[in-house]
Amino acid sequence: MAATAGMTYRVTMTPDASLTRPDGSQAVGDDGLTDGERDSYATRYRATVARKTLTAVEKDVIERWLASRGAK
Amino acid sequence: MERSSALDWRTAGPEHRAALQSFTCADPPRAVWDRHRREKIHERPWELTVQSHIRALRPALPSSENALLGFVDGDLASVVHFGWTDDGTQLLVLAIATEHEHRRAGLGRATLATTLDVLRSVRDDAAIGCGAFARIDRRNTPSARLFTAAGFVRLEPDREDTDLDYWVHDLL
Repeated sequence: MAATAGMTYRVTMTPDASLTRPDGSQAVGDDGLTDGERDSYATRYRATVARKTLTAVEKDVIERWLASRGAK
Repeated sequence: MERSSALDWRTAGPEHRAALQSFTCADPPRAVWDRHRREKIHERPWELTVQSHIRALRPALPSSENALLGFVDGDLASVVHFGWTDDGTQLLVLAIATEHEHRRAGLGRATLATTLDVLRSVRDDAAIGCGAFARIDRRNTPSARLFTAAGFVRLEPDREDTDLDYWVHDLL
């Protein structure tokens, strides 16, 4: 039937229409992350919380704490 | 009987890679997609980062690092990763975590106590007067309570990274 002026449409349900993303689908682990996302989190952790190099600020606060311990 | 009495400690080796790669300490265990922020989010991102770090561990580790794995009834229940700083002046607790299903059973306390015993032994073997140092996300109050109870002292906030606090233990 051809559409006519003044006709309205009622949406009854969202149709099922799947799409496969080319080159974009990566396996997601049980943590909800792809391998790349997990690596990114791990790299950030190693660069901050688990950084094996002490910064000048960190050395300073440790030395001052040790000095304060020695003064007691 | 305390849960910690059933802990079986093993040094991390290549045979533990599979267990480490499925280790889950984040609660909830999964990141979820946020359609408004257009990114994956987690209620406690610091838990997801330490979980990702532990899953990325590939023993055998470098000689300046080590990891102890606590098993309960054959299941990996807790992990602690520690090592020397690059210049060999301090010992670092790099990561400590309890498997999600084994929380609130005292495993964290037992793991940190065992870690301190190991670090004291390492320090004594090296014969230097170092302590144990750790960085903890400021929002991570359970870890702050755990480290406080184990005798760590919170130092002044990190002026370079506002998300982290410094913690130190004299290993005496």
